[in-house]
Amino acid sequence: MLSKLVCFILVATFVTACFEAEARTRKKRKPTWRMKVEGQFEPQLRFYESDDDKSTEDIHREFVTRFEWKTKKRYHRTKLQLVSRAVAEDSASSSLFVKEAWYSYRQRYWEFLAGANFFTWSTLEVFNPIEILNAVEFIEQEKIGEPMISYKRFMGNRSLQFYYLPLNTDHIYPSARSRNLGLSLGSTYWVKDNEELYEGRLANNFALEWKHGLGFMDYRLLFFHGPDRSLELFSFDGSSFHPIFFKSSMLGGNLQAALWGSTVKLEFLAKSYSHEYNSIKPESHQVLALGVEYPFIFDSGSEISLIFEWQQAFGLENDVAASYYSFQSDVFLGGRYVKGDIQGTQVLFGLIHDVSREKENALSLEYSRRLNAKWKIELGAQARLAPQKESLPLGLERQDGQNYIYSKLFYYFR
Amino acid sequence: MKSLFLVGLLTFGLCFSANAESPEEKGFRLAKENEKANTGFIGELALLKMILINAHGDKTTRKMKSFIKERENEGDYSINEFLWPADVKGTKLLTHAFKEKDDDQWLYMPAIKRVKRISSRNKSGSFMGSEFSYEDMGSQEPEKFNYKFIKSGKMGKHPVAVVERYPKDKNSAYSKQITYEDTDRHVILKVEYFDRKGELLKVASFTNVKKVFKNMYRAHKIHMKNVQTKKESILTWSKRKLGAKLPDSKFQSTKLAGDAF
Repeated sequence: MLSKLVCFILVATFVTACFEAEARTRKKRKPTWRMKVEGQFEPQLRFYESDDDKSTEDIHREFVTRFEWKTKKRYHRTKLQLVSRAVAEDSASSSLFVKEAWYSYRQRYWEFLAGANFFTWSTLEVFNPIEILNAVEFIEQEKIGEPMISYKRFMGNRSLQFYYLPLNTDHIYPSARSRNLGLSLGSTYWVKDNEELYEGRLANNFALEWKHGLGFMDYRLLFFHGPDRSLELFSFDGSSFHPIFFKSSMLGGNLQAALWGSTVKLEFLAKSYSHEYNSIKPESHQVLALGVEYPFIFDSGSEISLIFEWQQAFGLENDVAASYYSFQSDVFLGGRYVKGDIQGTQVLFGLIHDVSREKENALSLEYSRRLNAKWKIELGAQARLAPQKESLPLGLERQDGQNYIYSKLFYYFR
Repeated sequence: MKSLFLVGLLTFGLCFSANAESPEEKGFRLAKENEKANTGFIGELALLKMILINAHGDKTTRKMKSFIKERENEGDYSINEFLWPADVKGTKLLTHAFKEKDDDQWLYMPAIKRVKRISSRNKSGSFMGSEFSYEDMGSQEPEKFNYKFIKSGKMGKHPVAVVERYPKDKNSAYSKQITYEDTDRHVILKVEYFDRKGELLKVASFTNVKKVFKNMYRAHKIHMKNVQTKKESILTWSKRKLGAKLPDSKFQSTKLAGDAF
């Protein structure tokens, strides 16, 4: 009897010790890598107004895939986001690009990041003069990951971030058959010095960003030294047009404030250039944008936000400004209607009107709603009404006739 | 004899002063007592599920993560991070609540990595298409209302104080709210919301009340019924943890951009 009792006590002690050891191991267990894979499929259809030109495609059937792979372990994070666009009628306009491919080490007060990444600096809906850090995919103006090393320091409601960007990243242009461009482009010219181009993609670009939250408003100051890819300049070599980007030092900032029930936004950017290539020399200038968003809320739960924005380039002749930008002196008036239903139904509409050049208007309309938790639909239309007035198209005239209706279906997977 | 007279006078004075408390003062006092009883939770983490039901009975689900940091003598900091449905996953709403002035709010949109400020007028807008508005989801600081005590009563076996409260903010969607506060456990059990025209708009029932931290109780389910549109939303909490020590830096707009995991 005694031996049985001793045995029982020994077994019980052993089992208890095992459980305790397991519990201790669990407590001490090191953090492990967690991983997530998700993304979306987007079949898209665009029907352009006929241009009676057989060399371009009026119907675009596209299939966009986004794939995200994220991992995290305590302070370590990695992310890969790939985007592919397959265009059925125009395979030369198909593309695959990296939107994000980075590793970051994030502590409470600082973060180090290395890899390709994108950032949004602008707070405006339509005019975004300070969006200068990333190249874009031309069809949907989606940002492309910029290879970088960055260090960010958090100081309460302030932060300071330094970016070193060792490569010149190009926009992704569609082919000449696409109605989005309708132009055959040669390789990009990256101007390094007077009449001198970069030989490869290696560069020494950098940026500095300061952010500060001040109660009812936030502001951001930034400096960027690198290629200015927002100027719509081309160099003609006798057979084709080459996008040409000049090095620039850009100093700017923005501010957004909650005032009088509305959200007020202000953005500015001063650009200076010092190089010339093939008789093209951009003039230093400044761009200012202002926006106001005012919501009206209804008892039904729906709301309409009226949006007004204005953008103006300063320090340039009208025609010069129009040769640099599509929207160089424009106002936007539009709105966002949110139905407040379980499908998240939303309608966006707007008109852009050029106040310095005649007959230059752009219209857009977008309707979206969720079909269920994984499917969403978007329908819309866009019109660019800017007939060419002189021998060379300027400003919005370069997009004249890009009128289309479209549908997009989104399927989210994980 | 003199001291007896003084004691009598004092007692009479106390009784008089107690009786002299106006319904407005009593309503405010009860709200402050409720606030005091719920002070000291330090921080809160929770997973929330919201079921939205439209007038036809169709249902859809939203999921989110919630982080709250208590602040001394001021409104709380909070982050609501949306987990579901897929198209809004990773969207974060940061709120800095204040006792007197309008709350500061920011919305982070992960697809474009933009941090957007929200106007104070948006507070009456629908929260994620639900029957909850942004102001229903925000911190209910006593100083944001004027009060009027109506009566004492009972809901089930719990004593309740019925109090009318009137939002001071002109951007509020409501002209009046009637609250039923459990005076034992210091939790609200029911709220009736009246629209700007004074008509009954919504009724929220708070159930599944549990003791979660020290002597603090929290309702883990809120059933909001819109009596005008017949739509309903049910909000439930799970994995709720109070006493969590969250750094101030987590609740800064400069740190809002980060990947939801």
